Amino acid sequence: MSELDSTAESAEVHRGCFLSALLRVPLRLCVKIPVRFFGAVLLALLFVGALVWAAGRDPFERRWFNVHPAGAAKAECIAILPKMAVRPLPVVVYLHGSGGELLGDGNELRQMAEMGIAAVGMEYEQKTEDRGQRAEDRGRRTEGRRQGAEGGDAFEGQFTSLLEYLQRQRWVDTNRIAWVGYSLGAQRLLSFAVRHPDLQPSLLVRLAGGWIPELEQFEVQSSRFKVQGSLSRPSTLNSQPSTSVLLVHAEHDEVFPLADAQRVAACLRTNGVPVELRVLPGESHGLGGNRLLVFRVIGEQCLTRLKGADALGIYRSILSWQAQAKPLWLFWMPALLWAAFWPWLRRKLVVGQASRLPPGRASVPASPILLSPQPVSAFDSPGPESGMAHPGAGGTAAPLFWWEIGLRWLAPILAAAALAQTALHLVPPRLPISERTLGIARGHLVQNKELGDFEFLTANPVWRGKPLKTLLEHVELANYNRELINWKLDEPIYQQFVLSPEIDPVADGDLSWRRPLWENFYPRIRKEQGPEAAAEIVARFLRERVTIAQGSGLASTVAEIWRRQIANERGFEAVYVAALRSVGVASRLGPQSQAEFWTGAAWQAAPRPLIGR
Amino acid sequence: MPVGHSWKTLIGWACDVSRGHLRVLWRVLTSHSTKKVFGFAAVVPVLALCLFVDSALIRWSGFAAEVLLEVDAALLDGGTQWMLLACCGVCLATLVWVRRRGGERVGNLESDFRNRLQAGGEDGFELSIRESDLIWHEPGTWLLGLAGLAALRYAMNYDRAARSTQALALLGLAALGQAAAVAVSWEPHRVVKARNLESKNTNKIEVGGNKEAPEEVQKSETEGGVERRDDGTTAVQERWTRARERGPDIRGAVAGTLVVLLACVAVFCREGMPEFHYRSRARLTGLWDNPNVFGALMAMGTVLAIAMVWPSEADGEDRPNVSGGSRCLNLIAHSVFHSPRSAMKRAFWLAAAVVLATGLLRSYSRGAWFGAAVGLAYLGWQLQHHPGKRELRILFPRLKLNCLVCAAALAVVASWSLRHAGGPVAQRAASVANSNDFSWRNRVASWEGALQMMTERPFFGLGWNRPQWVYVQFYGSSSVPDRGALQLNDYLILGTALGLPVLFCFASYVGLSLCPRAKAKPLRTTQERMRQQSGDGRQKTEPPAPPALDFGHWTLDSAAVCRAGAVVLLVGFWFDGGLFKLATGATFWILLELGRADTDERA
Repeated sequence: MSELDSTAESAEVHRGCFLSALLRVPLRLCVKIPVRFFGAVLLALLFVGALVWAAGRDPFERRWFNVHPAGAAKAECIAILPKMAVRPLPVVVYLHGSGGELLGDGNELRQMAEMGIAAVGMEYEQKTEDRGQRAEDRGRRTEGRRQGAEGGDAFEGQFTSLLEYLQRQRWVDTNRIAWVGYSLGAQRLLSFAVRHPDLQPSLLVRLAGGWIPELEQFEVQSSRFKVQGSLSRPSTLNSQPSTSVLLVHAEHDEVFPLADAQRVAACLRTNGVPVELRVLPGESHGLGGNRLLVFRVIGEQCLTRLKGADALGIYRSILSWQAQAKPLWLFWMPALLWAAFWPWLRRKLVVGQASRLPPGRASVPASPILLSPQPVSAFDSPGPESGMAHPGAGGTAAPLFWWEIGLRWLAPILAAAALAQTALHLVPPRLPISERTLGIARGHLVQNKELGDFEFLTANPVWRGKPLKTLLEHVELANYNRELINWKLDEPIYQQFVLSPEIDPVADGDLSWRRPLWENFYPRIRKEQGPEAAAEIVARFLRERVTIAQGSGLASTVAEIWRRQIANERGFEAVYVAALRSVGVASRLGPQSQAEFWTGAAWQAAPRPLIGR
Repeated sequence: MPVGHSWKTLIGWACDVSRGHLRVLWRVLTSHSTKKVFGFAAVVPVLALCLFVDSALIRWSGFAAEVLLEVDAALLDGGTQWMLLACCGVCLATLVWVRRRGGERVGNLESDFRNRLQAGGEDGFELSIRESDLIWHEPGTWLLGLAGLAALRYAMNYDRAARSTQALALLGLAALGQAAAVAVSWEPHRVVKARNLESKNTNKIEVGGNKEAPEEVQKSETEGGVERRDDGTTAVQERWTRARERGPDIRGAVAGTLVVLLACVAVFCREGMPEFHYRSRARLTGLWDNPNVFGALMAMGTVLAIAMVWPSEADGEDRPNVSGGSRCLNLIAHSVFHSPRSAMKRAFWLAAAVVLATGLLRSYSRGAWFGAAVGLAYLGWQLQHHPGKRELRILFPRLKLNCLVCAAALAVVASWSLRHAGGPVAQRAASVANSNDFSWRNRVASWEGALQMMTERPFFGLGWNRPQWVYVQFYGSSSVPDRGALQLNDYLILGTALGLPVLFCFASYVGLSLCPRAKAKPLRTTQERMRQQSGDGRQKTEPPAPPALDFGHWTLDSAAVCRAGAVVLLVGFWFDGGLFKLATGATFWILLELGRADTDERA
């Protein structure tokens, strides 16, 4: 019993020692090396706060993993999971084309994941297939087929392992899986689907894919179908009736001609597989600048086909998700508290230590600091050599020089001036527009060169009751943008169709659309020389970011459409006009409610995005 | 006279003459001035190579350009790169070890002497435990940790890492810095000096420049700014003697050479590359391909030049005895102009500072401007403790808050006022508060992306040469079309490529190298403690003794100047990068290590 007691006692003592050491070490550091300790803790708190803030604003979660197939090299994979969608998530498995790599797939994967789908990419084996592909191109079909099969074996192992991995994940909705392949990836996926009918996905999307040799046998069957009127036995191509195929192909594809895609579509169709072929007019194999737009559309197609037509109704965009993220200052509060708390803590510790010193040492306040020639921090007491009063030393303050007194007066005066100027620039813009706030703006907030535009806008009664900030933003940004762009505009055209924020009474809303649109669109058009080229870029990027849908519950105002990144046809046209105006292209809604822009000589229909809905 | 005898005489005479000549030659060779000349001769080509090898000057020249291309190809070849990396790693580890071992050798002498003194009884004095005895207070430890993790990550994804020279640059330039520090601190006579001191049983300990003495000896009389010791010598005279004993001031030579070389660039390279403009004004790029690199180097040179205008440790003998009205201004004026011996020198450095500052302004690099401001603030912090600037030491703490408030208020007022007015320089400076400026917005967006990358891969990072790609593809915001800004922040590159442990190692290394460590504190002897108490045992109210125990510590010496230069580049690396570039990276490591070498001495 006594042994037990002593053991418990010693354990208690150890615990006590440990706990006291835990407290003592930081306190000792606090007293011994004050500047470094304070600075290190402050930096660490700031850094950790920033890390947590950034993680909170990140709309995606990325999971890097490897799959290890038997008899083949491991394959690096990544899954991009949107945080704004409810799990389990529908999954899109994407394979890049020949010569591509996983590190280059990020934008395509994210573009699809933005739609609320988990996007998975894989660094698959493509070397052998490359040789096979080249051989095929040279017309040596047999050899190419053999080598392609060798590469295909490695790929099949990797892809099977990936599918097995996905089956085990809790975030995967295993009934809603789509495969998307581009070029060589499309070839591999269709080939795999033909060989493994039991693993076929709900949706197979082939982007710029060609004919594959495995389909030849089915082509024979389909020719028999044409003769006999029905298949003698069900084709393995449609073993899972739920599987559908979407073929997206460029009109001028120089690698796999459009005829190949049409042939594949015909073959699949005759084998009972639901196929849709979408031709991208004027595009080539690489899809050029429309690549991300095409992936946006593929993401929309995957979402609606996997989750139903009304899935777009509950679509939640990145911007609306990020708008709810907490601000940075909240995460920096611990650091600010530490900075505010530090002088008090330091004084407390120094006094505590001084009171514990033997009588002879007690006359040396904060001895480690004062005796040490270490530089003194802003929070430390001044040393006796400074000539200042020190409570412990019982000294008296040295007399002030005349310029010291002046500096002491100057500091609060300058601080007051800075505060007043800051308040003038920050407070009135947040107030609603009235004669008084307009007067303040005229006098202090609007530059002389912008006064004409300011008066032009304020003459419109639509501004009454709206925040002054919105009006100032339109004036300032429109003027600033006008200085930057490489084309000129006449004053009436500029004021009516660039400066004015009124587009469509239904879509105008609170008119606060210029800044977000300008920040997104201007960097893309800043090198363009004319409005035509700028308008084309605007149309493309707008479609990359905004989905065109039908139904109720969609955003109607321009600012809201941009934030939610989904709109109906009319809303899309309104936001298109707003985007054009934000970058200095004079534009308006035409008679058919379609966007038009001013070329410098005439009004012209604005360029249309490659794919509408 | 026999012929043989005459020959012998002649040979003997010749030998005498030659022996005398040799002796003279030896004296000349080992003289202070010769050492200085050789020191400079070694420093100039090394620094010139570091600054200009990767510059446009070399790349556009014929033969040198071809050689440089070959070197580039060899560095980027995976087959040779790993060998070079291994060599750099071994060099770095060896140099750190050599430096550490040198410190231990001296430390052993010190501890022996200390033990003997303590065994001696009353006359001895206590010494608190040196923090530098703890291995984690040694910057070299963190540097080795950084290098080890960097090499490990290199090995883990070798195929991709070998496509860039970042890993090689990090290790190679760090080794270069260590080599510079070893070259500077390699002074065997210090150990001998410590032994001599020990045998003389003086009441000083001088170990590798570290001097501690009991307070009785350290007590000094102050006569209007000049502190006189009991033995009649002034502190500044003693320091001057010590400075002469140390041999050539390599740190000063490095700083001076950098200033001269950069000033030459600023004078002779007036035209910038056509593709860099700010509001239709060309931004100077000097010999480099980027105005930010040029700006960072100009900022560093400006700070170094300004620092060299101030009286250094060696100028201590000229220190004035000033008193009266505006003593601070008098002191500054005297320091700069009234010393005839160094007036020309200071005028030269002042002129160089003006030239470099002009180049800095014309680079329109805001990161470099900010770096220069931080470097000057660091210099001011160092200057605050200058022994001759007693007035500054009085005024700085008293006016610190007022100065800070004035500076902040002026910055706010200027940022509001200069948004739409002022010249291009003022507008460029005020553009950091302009929400329409995409330059800083892209940077902030990339910082956010980098933090997200670190959150997802905190321990091992993404690997060398991957963060840029991964950021562009997986983390960059869709609203930012130009996603190259991540490469402009070297710290975030380190954190994302190698993980937070490496970033922590780097921060610890830099922090320990820049911040002076806690010093050995001579505690009071028992006798003195007793003297401080009155008869009834109560505490006396006499003020404590002056704290400046080691005057050398308070000096704006060449090491502090080097550290200020390194601080400028450290700030520049946050905004514009350069840690992996030869010109800025090599300069940074050399300056930081030279600055740290002095910190070691003083610890």
